[in-house]
Amino acid sequence: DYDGYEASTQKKYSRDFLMTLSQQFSELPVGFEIGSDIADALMSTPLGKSPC
Amino acid sequence: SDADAARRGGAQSHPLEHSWTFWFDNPSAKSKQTAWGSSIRPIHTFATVEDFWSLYNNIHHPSKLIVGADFHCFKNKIEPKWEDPVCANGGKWTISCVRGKADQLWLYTLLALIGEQFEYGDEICGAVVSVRMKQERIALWTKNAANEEAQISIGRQWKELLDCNDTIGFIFHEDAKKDKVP
Repeated sequence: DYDGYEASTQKKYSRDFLMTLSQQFSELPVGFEIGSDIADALMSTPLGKSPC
Repeated sequence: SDADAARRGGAQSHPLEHSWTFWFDNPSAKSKQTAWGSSIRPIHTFATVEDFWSLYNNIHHPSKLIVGADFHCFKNKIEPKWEDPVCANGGKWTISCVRGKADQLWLYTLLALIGEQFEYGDEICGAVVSVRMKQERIALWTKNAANEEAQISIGRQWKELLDCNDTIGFIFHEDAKKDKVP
């Protein structure tokens, strides 16, 4: 069982719990695509960077 | 760790109650469009905590977005427009702060939404951060503005979650629309 997770009808997560996961996912979601026209305005990391 | 496992195979991922979609309205494209809303477009839909962070960690936070930008996080299938049938009878709560200070407020708003921290969460459509020359505004869009009990609860809880002591305003979309008529 995780702190901040209630296995009821609703999947609830506390801010503290969500924050514990924040630094563990730095790679863009698999299959993520974005137009080059807005990539510069929106993305903080260069696109096309190899994950490894 | 569980997180590593989730990144590799999703075995330990944490599903969200709702799927959410990020939308971006690019100000540099806006000037070239005639109709409002034609430059807004969906960026990514996510349904797990892990997928949320994967995107959030790679995009600019409000203080780094260019002036004029609007970044939305709405429940999947609800478009962040007055015209969307789910939003049409709704309204919005708005919090404003000086330019460059909205990052934490925005993150805490997102985490409260995806973590289902609102008692009347079903009444919420989504949230938007708007970056302007002198200020950043965050608005929480609701479904049924006439449901006063829900609006009051959502506004009060939002202020508590953000530790905000300022007075925040609520406006019906219907009234906001009238203000836009020349």
